Amino acid sequence: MRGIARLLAALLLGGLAWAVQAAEDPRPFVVGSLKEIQAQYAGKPLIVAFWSVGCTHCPTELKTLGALKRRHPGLNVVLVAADTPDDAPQTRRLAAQYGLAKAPQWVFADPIPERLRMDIDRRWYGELPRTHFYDAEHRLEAVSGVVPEARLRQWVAANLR
Amino acid sequence: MVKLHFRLPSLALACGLLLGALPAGAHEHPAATPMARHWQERLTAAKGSAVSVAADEQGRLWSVDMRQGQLWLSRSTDGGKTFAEIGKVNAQPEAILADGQSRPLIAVHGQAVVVSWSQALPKLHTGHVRMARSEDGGLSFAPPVIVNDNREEIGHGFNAMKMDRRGNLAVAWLDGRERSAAARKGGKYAGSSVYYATSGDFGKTWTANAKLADNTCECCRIGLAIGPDGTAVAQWRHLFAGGVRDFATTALKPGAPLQRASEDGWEISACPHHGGDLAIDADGRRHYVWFTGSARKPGLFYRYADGTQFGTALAFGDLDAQAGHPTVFADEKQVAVVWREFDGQRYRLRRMLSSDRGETWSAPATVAEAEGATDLPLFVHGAARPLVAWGTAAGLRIVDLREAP
Repeated sequence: MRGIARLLAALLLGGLAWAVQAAEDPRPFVVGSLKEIQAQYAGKPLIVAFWSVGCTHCPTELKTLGALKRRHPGLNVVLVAADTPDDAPQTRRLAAQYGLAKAPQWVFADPIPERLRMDIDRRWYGELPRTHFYDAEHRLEAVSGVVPEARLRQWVAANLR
Repeated sequence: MVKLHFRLPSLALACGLLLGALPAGAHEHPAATPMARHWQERLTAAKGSAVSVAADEQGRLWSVDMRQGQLWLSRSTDGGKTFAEIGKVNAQPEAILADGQSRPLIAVHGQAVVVSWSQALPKLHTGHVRMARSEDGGLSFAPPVIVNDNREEIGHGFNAMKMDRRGNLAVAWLDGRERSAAARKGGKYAGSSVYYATSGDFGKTWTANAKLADNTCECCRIGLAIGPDGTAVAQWRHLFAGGVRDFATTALKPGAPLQRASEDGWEISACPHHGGDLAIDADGRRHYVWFTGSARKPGLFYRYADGTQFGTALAFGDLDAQAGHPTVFADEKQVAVVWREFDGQRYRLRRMLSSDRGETWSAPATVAEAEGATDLPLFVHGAARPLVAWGTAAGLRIVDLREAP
């Protein structure tokens, strides 16, 4: 009986999560979008995770971030997919699979990814995943490639109080 | 004019082409995952954004580009100012990868036209290396064949192909069979592997598939060149100990030892989708160009090598202008290096020249600019002059470095 109640609750929550997702399509990421994201989280630690639908190394890190977010609801994670606006339904579905349905989502909306990368970080040459760690003062630490789980935990421990 | 279609490029698009395993949602039917749907869209793309151009012995230029699953052959007799369509390479449309690090390839000599490409299979990040050959100057092609003799539905792709004027022809590609075999035994295999086949008669007959290297990066194009002795040499991003993805090189012949071609120390748990390029000059000196994101010294580099002796790595390109995707040309004394930068508004092709086999170099200069999305620049295969082929939103451009400013 309790099992059924849990199942029903899960279905209900799942449905709600779906409704929330459906309402919030990933926003188009253009030049200036990162500044907008940073302003929104001014004074707060933040992880901006750049990824893409076809990136096979990305799910490892995103799943870890999803698990960390469950454990630490105060953890600010913003997802930016280096795909195209046409890929928005897929980025949304994948983010949900990684437990990041509620994280704000953006998707690259410029035919020239270099233009966005120059705005984000001139020294980023497109490797994915790419993770931006901002502490409360928004000092940036950028990492290319999958960030090991231990390092993500360390960052959360150091920055979330 | 060959028009190119650019889908917004996504760097990590085919990162798993050779993984041969679904990293996410593996319990679902492959076609049901968002990743697989993305793959399906890519393999049904209406037009490719990556083209190739080769010169024949008369200096005429031949291009291949993908439209609706068919490769179209075109020819220019005016140095690349205009191209006239000749016809289709593959009569039956198929899913052909023609973007980023995966492009159709062409080699031409006399009446022989050889075209190779990566055919995408329905399963996520899987494919076959394909080839079709014409003996009548491209008017008709024999039905395409599959080059990889392992026919599992796993990754075989990112092929490179080069031919010399004596009929030596080489194809090298990234192949997931070793990884697949390890997985069947319940083991793990890091990265992919490089396989190759060669021909000595302009592609009429071929050697059996042979393995060149184990444990390579999964989705960076392979650099390939044929030396004055007719032996091909490959350069690829390798998986060294500790997850370091630097470059390695070796000759395409049995028993040739693997040599480390760069000591960047780029430890990255991802595939950067950024292969290098290789040219061999008339005296057999090998000229390498590549990109590294190593924290110690990121950016573009050039070095030459004679036998086992490697020269010092020379940094080039503007790190703050997204300098990337270098390509190299070499003949008797001249070496030319071209790469792409972005100035915030438009892409530009930059070049540097050496007239003493890579000992000293000119200052860099801009030789072309383009608005909108562009393909990666590559030197025209088999050209006696340093001609760069560059796909732009306004069409395919051929830049002759000897005429450029």
